[in-house]
Amino acid sequence: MQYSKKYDVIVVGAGHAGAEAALAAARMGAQTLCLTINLDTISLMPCNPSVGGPAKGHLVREIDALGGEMGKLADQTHIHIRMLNTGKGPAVQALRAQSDRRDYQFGMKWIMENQTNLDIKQELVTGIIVENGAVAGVETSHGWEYMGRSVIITTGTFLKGLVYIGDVVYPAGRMGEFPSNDLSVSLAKHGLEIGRLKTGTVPRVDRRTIDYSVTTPQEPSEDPLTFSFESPRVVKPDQVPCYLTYTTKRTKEIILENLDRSPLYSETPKITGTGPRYCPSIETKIMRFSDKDQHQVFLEPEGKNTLEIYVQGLSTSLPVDVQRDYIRTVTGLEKAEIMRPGYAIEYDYVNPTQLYPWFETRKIANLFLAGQINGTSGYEEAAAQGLYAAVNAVLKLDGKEPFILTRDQAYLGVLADDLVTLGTEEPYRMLTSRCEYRLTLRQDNADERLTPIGYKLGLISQGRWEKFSTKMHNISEEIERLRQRRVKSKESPQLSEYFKTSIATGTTLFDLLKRPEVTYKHLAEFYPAEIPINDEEAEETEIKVKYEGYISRQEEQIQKFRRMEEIRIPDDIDYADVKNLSNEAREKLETIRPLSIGQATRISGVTPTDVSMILIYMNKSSVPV
Amino acid sequence: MTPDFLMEDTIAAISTPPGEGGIGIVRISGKDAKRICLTFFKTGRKNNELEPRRVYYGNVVDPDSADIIDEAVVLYMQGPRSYTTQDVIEINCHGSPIVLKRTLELAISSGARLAEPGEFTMRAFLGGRMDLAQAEAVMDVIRAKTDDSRRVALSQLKGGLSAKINELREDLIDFLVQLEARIDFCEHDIPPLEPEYKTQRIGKVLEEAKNILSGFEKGKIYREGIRVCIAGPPNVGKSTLLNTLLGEERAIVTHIPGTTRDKIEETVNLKGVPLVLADTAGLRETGDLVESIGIEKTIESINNSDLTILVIDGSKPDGGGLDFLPQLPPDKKTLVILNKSDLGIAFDKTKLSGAYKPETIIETSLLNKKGVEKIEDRILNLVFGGGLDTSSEIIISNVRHRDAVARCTLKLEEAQSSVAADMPDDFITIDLKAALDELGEIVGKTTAGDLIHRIFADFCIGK
Repeated sequence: MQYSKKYDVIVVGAGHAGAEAALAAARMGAQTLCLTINLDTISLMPCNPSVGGPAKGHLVREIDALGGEMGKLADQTHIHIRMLNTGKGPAVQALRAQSDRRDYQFGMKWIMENQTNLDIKQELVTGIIVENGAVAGVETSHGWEYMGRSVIITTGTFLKGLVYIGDVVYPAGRMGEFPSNDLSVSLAKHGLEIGRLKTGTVPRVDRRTIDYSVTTPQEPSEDPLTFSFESPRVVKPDQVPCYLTYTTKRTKEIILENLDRSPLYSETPKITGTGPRYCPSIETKIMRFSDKDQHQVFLEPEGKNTLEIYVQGLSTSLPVDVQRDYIRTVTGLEKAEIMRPGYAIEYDYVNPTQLYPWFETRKIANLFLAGQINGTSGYEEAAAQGLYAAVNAVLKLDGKEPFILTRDQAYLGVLADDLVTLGTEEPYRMLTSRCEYRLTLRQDNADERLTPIGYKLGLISQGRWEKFSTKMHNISEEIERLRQRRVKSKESPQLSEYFKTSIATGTTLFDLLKRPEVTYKHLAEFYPAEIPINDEEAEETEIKVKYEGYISRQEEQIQKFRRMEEIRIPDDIDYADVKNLSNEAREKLETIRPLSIGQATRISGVTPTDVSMILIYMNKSSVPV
Repeated sequence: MTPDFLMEDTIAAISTPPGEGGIGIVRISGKDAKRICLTFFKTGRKNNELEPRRVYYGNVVDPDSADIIDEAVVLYMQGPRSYTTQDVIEINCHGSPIVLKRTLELAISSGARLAEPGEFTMRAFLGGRMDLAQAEAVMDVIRAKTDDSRRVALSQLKGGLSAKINELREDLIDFLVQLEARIDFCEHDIPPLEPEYKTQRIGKVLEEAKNILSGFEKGKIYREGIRVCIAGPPNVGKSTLLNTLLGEERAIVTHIPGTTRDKIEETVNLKGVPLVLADTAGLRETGDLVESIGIEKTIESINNSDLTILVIDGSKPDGGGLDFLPQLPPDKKTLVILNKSDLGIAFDKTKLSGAYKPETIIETSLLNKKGVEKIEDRILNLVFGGGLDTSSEIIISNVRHRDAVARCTLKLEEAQSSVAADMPDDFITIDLKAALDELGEIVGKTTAGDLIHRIFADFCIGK
């Protein structure tokens, strides 16, 4: 039964990837349909309702700079926000917010419902429709066939999802939700290779059963902090603290006593999918770090209108009675009542080496994948991919060149390149240490890096663009002023006195600001800006001046990197034809089919000699015989 | 489309198959070729300048010490009228491996990068100087050679250096992981690092890197070199040969007792070429079990060598007993020494003519130090005349490795000053990663994956 309305883009799933994908596609003018198993779980945060943190916060800022919603919504719905890593350098500072789960979910639902060009419907997608090697639509369990020129799949943990709680194993997309089994079969039938991953979450307990008096409160920041460059910089009222506590020796004992009941550690482990190393279950932590007698536990509220408390640090797949017993050994949780148990979930994914760098599958044209189906973990990683895939889906429909962010432009570029070039065998999480050009990819300059691109793509409003342009103008004016203005002889003694270091007459303010003991704020007391500079602009100016040496050194490396990326390898290159490649290199190159010489160099097993061979070959085929 | 990136760096290499006594050429190609050359080549004229397509006579001078390394003749070919179509400098020095190596080192410390195998050819091809068939023929050879040279470069490192470099890498990774884990997982209860601790950690690596560097300067770095096995019947002068080659004028690098009581290894630096000399037990065809084990060990030692020196007692008609000869592995580069010529030669050389070429047979009286130079020359000839494949690779990788360690120490010093200036950790990691990459280049390892793996292995992290 074919549905009468035809779509440009169909998004399967409405989690963090699906929501951003659907919004971006619709905002770029595509007639978009978003299908979800349950309209009440749009943008659900099944783990903790936390957005941001190192690298993830960077991604949120980048999503925002490209016109995505995640940052704004976190700004509107948070009940706790802090800036992390403040002492470790401007590039690794990161925002982290705790949102009210329901507010976030229904906030996103409302935004999607009100988006022009976007229809959202409750449907379980059972398969893709493929015609002539290209995707043409999807079919659903209700019997509809929705036809779309492009399909973006964002199924999270739903593909053949299996929940594990000790001996209890049942099919579910997440706890209490339908799995999506047929779609996985359909994808495999159309040639995608399917793998299996695992993740998990923690028990939630009733707030009234926690003794907070023996825990350490962690207060939110008193500074106005926002993810979005568009959000008003104000301190959100009614924020709540989180609480820090620890497991005890008894926790360890109970877990060790019951290890044979764990689906991960029993004699014949039931779970074979690979779990994330950065998010180990409490049983894994105790096994791997057996010398540690206590482990950190954060108690995080799930929202304003609920008593559920997320017990961060105790992710588990142990049986419910063991969960009850060990949770009551945590300091402050002696009387805790579990409201929802923790669980592990195993699900299907598609190793992303099967994708083009713009997230379209190589096997099936116009089929895009984003989020956990690509082997990643995390809301922010998913949202970023959703946006990226949608932009590319629409560009392709418009007959335009793909939108590719490179490793020097964005965390999103690093994420995409890592996935398609290296693939992943465990849930991939964004980390600042994955970035070569971390100093350039700061969260404070995400707009500078990406908003011009977002504007060109049609994802940034005119008003925002003008505001952004003013900001950039002010910063460069202010830097110029600092370069020109020198310390006058009569000012020198006073300055030296203030900064407790000798400051010579004739020093430019620019050089002065580079000194470790001089901050922009203090400098501005003596030399106020001539144009109105807001806090954000002041901060940006300070970073650019203070770390100019390091930044320009990195810029040189980036130039070199870019030139390698710019040497494109022809799409139709036949590696069987390239002489003198090692077997390993040939095999890898055939699978991954790098776009550029730069990308080829990052494939493991491809040596500089192999790259030379490709270059020689390329030159050969461009010369008429 | 011109793949520009390969043409960007200025590259340098020894471009002649080096041979003792002849002329050797260090070639530099790229936009900085002239500037680089002029930092260490002095024409003696008022304006130290080079005009294209002219020949200059002058000195190669170490700019730091002002030592004259060699007299040289320099040609400057301005691009595009050159082999690679870039600016090319050719420095014609004397062919001594030491001179060539020093000159190449100067080019590199002045800003050139050591050319990858085949890179000059690559540039010539991309510049249109060479047709495809020619280029492919050259690349065929390079392909075959790179695997080989990687093996050689690694085998040289098998001994102390590679272990040392890996130790330094481990140390650095360990420290870097501590910094990175605190950045990426700042909410976990990992106590902060004190500046004194950072200084001490970096300082330790820096000190060891500097030690390695000074080892390079003294030529004391490679335990592994060209492996030479000394074999022959008992009491023909094998140990005397070893001791003679180890003469006082040469630096003894290490003294490593063999794994068995009857094998000794010594390393000697012969005119810049590291040789690992293995003395073996005397060979005799016998039913004695101990001695037949000795033969097996010797054969094993020969198999592991690049060159065998077979010592024979020339004063005896049977050469001291050569029954074992048929058991020796064929196809091994061998130098035959007829020792004890002072007692008169009674051994009939023609007995060997089937197996060994006449020019590989040398008469000596090691007791009187007669014929030693001939042996040395013959070894060097084999090494540099291409008789042994490993030769130039050893010099090249020596330069490459030294350069990498030197850059590593610079990066560590920068990291150290970042700590001193109380810079945030992120800035310290920048230089530490760069230092680590330099070490990784020596042992052929990359960094990123290692780091992340180690963060998860060392820190208990997670929700």
